[in-house]
Order: sequence, then C-alpha cells, then structure tokens
Amino acid sequence: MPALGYAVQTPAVSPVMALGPARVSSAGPPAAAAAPMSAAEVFREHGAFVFRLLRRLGIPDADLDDLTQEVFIIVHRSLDRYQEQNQMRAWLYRIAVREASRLRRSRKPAGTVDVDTLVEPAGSSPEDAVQANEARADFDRLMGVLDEDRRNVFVLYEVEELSMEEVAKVVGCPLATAYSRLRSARQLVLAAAKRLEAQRNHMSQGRSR
Amino acid sequence: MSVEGPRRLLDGGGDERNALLRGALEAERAERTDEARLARIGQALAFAGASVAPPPLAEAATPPAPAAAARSATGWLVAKGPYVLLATAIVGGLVAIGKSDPPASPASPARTTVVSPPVDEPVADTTPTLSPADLPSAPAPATPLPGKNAKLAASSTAGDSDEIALLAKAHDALRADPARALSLCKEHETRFRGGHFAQEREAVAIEALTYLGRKDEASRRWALFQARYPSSSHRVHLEGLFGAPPPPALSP
Repeated sequence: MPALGYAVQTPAVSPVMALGPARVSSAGPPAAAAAPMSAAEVFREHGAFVFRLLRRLGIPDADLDDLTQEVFIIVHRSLDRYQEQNQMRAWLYRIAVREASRLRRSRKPAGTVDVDTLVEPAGSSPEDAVQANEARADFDRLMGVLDEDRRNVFVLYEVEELSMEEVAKVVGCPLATAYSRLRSARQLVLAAAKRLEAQRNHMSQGRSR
Repeated sequence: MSVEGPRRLLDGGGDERNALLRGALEAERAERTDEARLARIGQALAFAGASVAPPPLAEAATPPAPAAAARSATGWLVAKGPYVLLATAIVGGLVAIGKSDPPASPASPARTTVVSPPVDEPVADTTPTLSPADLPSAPAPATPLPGKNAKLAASSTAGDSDEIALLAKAHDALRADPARALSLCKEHETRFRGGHFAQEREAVAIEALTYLGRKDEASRRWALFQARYPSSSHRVHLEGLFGAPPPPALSP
C-alpha cells in the first residue's frame, strides 16, 4: 500500500487521512509542506490529477473542463483552512468525488450499462486503434457497468491506490461498506471484461472467416 | 493507521485473472493528462485569458527596455490590479506547457452550477463556512467577468495587488539593480508570508543572486525551489541560469 509519509509528519493534526508523498511526488518533500500553497500552486501541482480523477469517476468528457474548474474554485475559496494540514490531496479527493456525484445527480438518475451493451464502437477494432487508447476505452466501458457508489470505490482503490480506510473516508461510508462495494464491483467488472473479451474474440473470428 | 485492503487486481488480487481487465487498469494508471487541455482549463480559471495574460517571469530573459516598461509583464500586472493575480499565477504555471494553445474559447458556455463551499463534507468539522460577507471586497474588474470566473474575482483581495506591485518592482529591477531586486524579495518574504506568489518571488530572488555573483546562495535557493516546485514553469528559465542541475544539497 502507499507510504504514509505525511501521516508521519502530522500525526496529531487531524484524524482525516493523510496520503503519502510516494504517490504524491508533485507535492514536494514534507519539509516544504510547512509553507502554505496558493490556489494557483495547488492547480499547478494537482490540476492534472483532479482532471484524471473526475474522468475516472465517470464525468462525461464535455463536462470535465467545467467540473475541474469548479473543484479549484472551491479550493480557492476555502484554501486557507486546509493548506497547513498536509491534507491537500485527501481534500481534493473528497471535493472531486462529491462534485462528480453532484453533477451526476443533476443530470439523470444514476444508472448502469447492461453488460450486453458493451459492444465495440462502430468502425473501431483492436487492430486499428492505438493500444493504450483502446485499453482506456475498455476501462470506461467496464466502469459503465458499475453504479456510482461502486465505481467510486473501485477507482479510488484499484486505480488511485488509496487504502480502504482512505476510500471509506473519501466516499463517506463505513469501512465494511467500502469493502462490500469493492467486492461486488470487482465481480461486476470481471464479468463485464469476460463478456467484452468474448465479444471481441467472436468478432475477430467472424472477420477471419 | 490505515487499514490494509485486499491485494489490488494489478498486484495479483482477485479470484480470477483477466487480461483485458488488467490491460485496462494498467492503461488507466499510466494515463497522462492532455496538458494542452489542462492549460486551457487553467486559462479559463484565470478568467483574464491567455490573450491578455503576460508571459511568466521565466520568459523575461532580458531586462525590459525603458520604453517597453509600460507594456512589460509586471507593468501590466500592476496596471490591471488584483483581478489578474490568480490569472497570472495559474497561467504563469501553464504557459510553458500550453503556449501554442488557443485561448479558452469565449464561446464556450459557462455552466451556472452553484459552487458550494465544502460545508457538507463528511469531515465538515474542518471545513470553512463561507458567506458573501466573508468574501473580501475588490474593485471592479477591468473587463467583464463571465459566469463562474466572477466567483474567483470576488475572492481577490486588496492585499494581493500590493503583493503584485512589490514583485513587479523586484522583477523590473532585476537587471539594472539586482541588489534592489533581492531586497524587494526579502521585503516580500516579510510582508507577505504565505502570499500567493512565493514561487514567483523565489524565481526573482534566485535570478538576482546569480546576477550579483552569489552563486552558492543562488544554488542553494535553486535546489530548494526545485524541491518545492518540481513542476514550476520557471524552471526552464532558471535552469538556463545555472546551466546544469543543482547540487544535491537538499538533505541535511
């Protein structure tokens, strides 16, 4: 699991989770954390991270820019209370998860994509797509089978590599619930991946005939 | 102490292996954000936009000619006042990666989502509560502020313009009088502890030290700068001053 160097630096500041510099290298060494960061510095250091996180949480591409901005507007307005606590990335996780959830609720009821709808986009195939982009497209398709709660836990644990305790705090649920969501998310995603593979193999065989 | 979770899927966790799922997770972890797009987000956040934003200090390789002083970056900063403070800081950090990008499209509609302060977070006990009365006042902007960008402007403070003005003086004095530039940086450090432009101050101070021939001090400060601002847009310029990576003097 990720190192918890920041927790070592600030053991008594707050019970809120601390994320380690091993995964937060852009945050600089702990010694530098003593000086507060400006909102602009926070954006420079964490803007890409927030953008990626929002996308992984299922925010449509058309909304990503606006929502990233809104996260940093919140940061800008509230920074003073947080910047000395070495909790910046934990705070950003919470804001991003919450704002993503807020946006989804404002659009339509949370839903999932049936596994059977996980067909390849028209005109694309593994052969004519760049491999990395294809794999990321797979990721998006797989995440489509999860509801918001499961997706949040899955992304934060499997991709962002937060600890389960951190995940539970970010999404605001009991630890046991986070475990339960992760377990069921894994099952759903694995089943979806198998279906995708089967579909792909079937299409590949059809083309080769 | 954090609770150890189950082994992650990419670390061999889970009951079953699946190549497609593994590939998807690996690609996702390795993803790099489109920096040009991120730069545009920063420009939109900065609300002044790239079309009027000054170049960062890193681009000021030569001192501005007196006749050009009025249109220098720092002169522009002072003239425009506090409404450019966040614009400058954010855009300054992004110009290096987004110089060739078009400015944020004015045609792109700003959503009218109300941004609420994080008062309803699960850890709301540490979350500030903001009301309009809490927001510092600021003079009217030089240009209309569209949509949500106005929210940023509303948070600018009069103290910010003082900070900008001071750093503008320091920057303008760099070549002609680096000792004065350094002195102004020290004044900034004293007056604006925790200010918005510590990074810009350090960049000016390092440059001033090199012009004064105080190479050791400059090197030490440069090493600290790199540690604190590893992705700073000023690095390219400052690296040019030193010509080589700084000595590994970070560890005591």
